[in-house]
Amino acid sequence: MSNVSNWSKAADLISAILLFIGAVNCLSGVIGLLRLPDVFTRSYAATNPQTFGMLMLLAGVALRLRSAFDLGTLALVAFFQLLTSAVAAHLVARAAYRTGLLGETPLLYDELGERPPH
Amino acid sequence: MNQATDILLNAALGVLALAGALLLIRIARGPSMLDRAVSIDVASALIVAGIGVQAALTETRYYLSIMLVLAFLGFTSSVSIARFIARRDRPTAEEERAS
Amino acid sequence: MSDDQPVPCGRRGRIDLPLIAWLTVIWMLLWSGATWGNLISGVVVAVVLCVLFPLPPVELGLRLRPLGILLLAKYLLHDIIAASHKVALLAWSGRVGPAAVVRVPLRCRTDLMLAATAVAVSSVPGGALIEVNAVTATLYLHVSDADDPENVARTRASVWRLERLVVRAFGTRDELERVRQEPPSVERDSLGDAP
Repeated sequence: MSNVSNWSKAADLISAILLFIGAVNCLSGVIGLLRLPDVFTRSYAATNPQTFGMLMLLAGVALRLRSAFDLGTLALVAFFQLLTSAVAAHLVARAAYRTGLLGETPLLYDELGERPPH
Repeated sequence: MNQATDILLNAALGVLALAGALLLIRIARGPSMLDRAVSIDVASALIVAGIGVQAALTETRYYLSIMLVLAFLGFTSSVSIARFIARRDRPTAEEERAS
Repeated sequence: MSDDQPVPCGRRGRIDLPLIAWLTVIWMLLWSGATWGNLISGVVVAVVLCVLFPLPPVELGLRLRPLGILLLAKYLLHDIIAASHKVALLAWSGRVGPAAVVRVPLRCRTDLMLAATAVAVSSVPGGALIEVNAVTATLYLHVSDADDPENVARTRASVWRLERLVVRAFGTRDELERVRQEPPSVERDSLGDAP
């Protein structure tokens, strides 16, 4: 009996640690968003809370709730979060490139511009 | 042990709130609309994260469907901004073949 | 795309069972309960949706290989963890090296593999996917710290590895055969200072 409750307490603690790591990761992504100089590097930083931070948080929630059905829901949340944030990041980066928002420092070289795609 | 869990979870909520507050600076300042689009994407991720921490704090599973819906639809705003901004679209290969 | 093309009457009108199963699963997860009522109402809603809004028949060429999917998930997670650590350090320091747009030609040709590879590449932090050319199957990535040629080479290698993993998870036999070959060489002849 006490053995079971010890295990569940340990799982709760690990889940809380995972949630905290995820939250700190989200914060570091936002710090990057504030400090980095142009849209592309900001979108690097933005991917962080959307992927790693989110996976940590969802793992923490799954460990806290401990039911197979909720694990399925959380896995689906993770799947769609990764899929949709990838699509959004690509569209934003493409729009930024096409409208010439390349920041103050010029590109070292540009293999898309120098060789037309067709 | 239980107390440590509670402290960690509340600290996580605090960190997420701080992140959201800092994010508002970028949304307000963000020189271009695309910076704002990136920030809005992160904001929806932060909201999902906050609901997740709340679900863990209260051990309620009914928050999960809200997270699912937000994960489905959170990206629409930034995608529409990106499409609206990108006016100088070159025709894709298929459009060229069709014409 | 064009209306005069005869629609290959494969799945149109018929009931697409995997799609209905997938929609039902999502319905049950949304109502957060694995009850018979949810199952039955989910099947009814999915069938009604499929009859009212039929999707155009697409030959996806999708294979699901469980072992490949596990391997893809493992390496994707590994890449995400490694890269997120680096990006977090970058965020706190706030200094980035000069950036470049880098061309990465892929070996797979089908749209589905290209899209899946693109999604996998852009979900790893520390690189922005700028353009996907479906005709030549080429990805264009924005890479920072491009003054270090080794960094650029590492980025290309990781894209090719993700491509191989994606094809091993979802690809057809033909695509698998392609991915076994060496990645195409990338020469920058138009720039004169090619190494």
